[in-house]
Amino acid sequence: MDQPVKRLKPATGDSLENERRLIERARTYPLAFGELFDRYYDQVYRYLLHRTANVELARDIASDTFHIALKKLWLFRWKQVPFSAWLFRIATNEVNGYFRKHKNYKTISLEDFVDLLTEESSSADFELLQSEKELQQKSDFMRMHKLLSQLNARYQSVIVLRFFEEKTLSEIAEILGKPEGTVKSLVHRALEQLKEGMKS
Amino acid sequence: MDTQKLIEELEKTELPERVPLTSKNKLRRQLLNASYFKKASVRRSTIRYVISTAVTAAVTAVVILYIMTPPTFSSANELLTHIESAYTRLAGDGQIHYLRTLFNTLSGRTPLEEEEWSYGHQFSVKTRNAVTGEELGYTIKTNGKMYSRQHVQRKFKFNIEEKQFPAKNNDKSIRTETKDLRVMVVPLREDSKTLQVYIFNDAWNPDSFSKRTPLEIVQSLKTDSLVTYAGRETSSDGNIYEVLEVNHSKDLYLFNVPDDQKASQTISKLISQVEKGESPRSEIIDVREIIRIDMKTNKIFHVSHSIRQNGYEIDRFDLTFLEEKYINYDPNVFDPLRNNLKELVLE
Repeated sequence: MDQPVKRLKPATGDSLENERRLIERARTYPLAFGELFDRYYDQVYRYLLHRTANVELARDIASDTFHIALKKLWLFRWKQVPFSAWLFRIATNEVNGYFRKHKNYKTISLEDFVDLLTEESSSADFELLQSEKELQQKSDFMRMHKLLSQLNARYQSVIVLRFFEEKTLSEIAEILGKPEGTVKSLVHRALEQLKEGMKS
Repeated sequence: MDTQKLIEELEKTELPERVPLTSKNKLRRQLLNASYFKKASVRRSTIRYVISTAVTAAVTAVVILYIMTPPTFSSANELLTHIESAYTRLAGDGQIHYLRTLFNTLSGRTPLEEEEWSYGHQFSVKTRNAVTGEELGYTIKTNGKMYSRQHVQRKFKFNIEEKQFPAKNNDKSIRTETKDLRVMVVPLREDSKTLQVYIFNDAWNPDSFSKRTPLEIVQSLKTDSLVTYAGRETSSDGNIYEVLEVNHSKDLYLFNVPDDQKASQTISKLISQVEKGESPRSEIIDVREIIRIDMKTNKIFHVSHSIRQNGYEIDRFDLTFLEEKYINYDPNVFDPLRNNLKELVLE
């Protein structure tokens, strides 16, 4: 029967050294930046969806993240860590910043979303609606997100990165710009708070 | 609840696999056309200008730069209009159009070199193994009839309503057509026991990749709303290429199938799965077309179709235009008897 498609070695290569070269090229060549976008957009979008539980918001913050990454790419300094850590850091700052500014943030209901659609709505709007519907059907995640959203932003970040995105402690340390030991205790405290939240 | 149980709960939560593709592609186009890159290009030009002026007199340098610097483009359409007029100027009335092309793939299938002579409705196509020079196929179309000399080909029988086409050359590819889907079967490598099966809709058609002339490519790109101007590249040997990109993010499927007695049966089953929408999500692929235009000649130099899955390139079809010219009409070019070709009758 059919087998999974064998992944051939990508043209740009997977090693950190190749990634460093790709980032160098991406500073001036759009296609190289496109390659970075292809590699990391889905990861960043999914991280933001975990944080926001809202398709439209995740899409908008992912868009901001990549616009900022492009604008600040010339400031990026290569430190032998994957480029994704830098992108996740931008995404984390953006999503935390969003929630700071919108303390009383409430997600728009599916019914309201449908009401906003008209014949003139673009295919992107309908696609968004479809994605939102699929998300709402993931009841396990929506229940967990409700509990997570009660935690402060730092704890939300570490829980999502550690258990949803399956990042290692050292990767999370790179993303948050904190020592690994601090991240470890943040994860511990976040889990404790989450347990408290579940009790109540 | 203890901590371990909580961690298990967290780890088992799932998100939908779907990433909104329309928004993603729109953002990609925005980023690739961002003013950031135009500024970067200006910065490079400025550095070049400063170095030149340091060496020669300022006025001379300005004149030289003005002459040497290729025109700049801000949109795909502007660039396409520019090269379309260059192609139109070259077209020779009453002459045969000659094109020599190299086909290559990332997955290492036999590289092919194709020579094509065309004049009105007549054409003559000779295909060779680009490494050994061995002739693989020779086809002439004249007076509405096809004449050919082809290698023996494998035939696959699919248990679906189908229309079979003879394979273009000896790469053992078979194309079949149902109402909505087209299928291409190619061996992964010459000695491989694996077949690559592409199932696709009209959004991407490998025929369009191999059969069009550069001018036809330009003309079809001009009407394609998905074309993006992706900026300028300088090769290591100093050639300047303008780059266009087309992203076909439609549902396309790629499977690896064992090359055995059951291959036809397996492929039929896969087609049926795709038709019913039951194919695994992970098999869906995207195709990105990248077109490089040589600014010395104002002609398309290279076209590649990058087959991508989960953001990575898993295979690539490369087409390089090695030579293109107009030559005086010679009836021998389209004479099947002179070239020992037999009339081709489609089954």
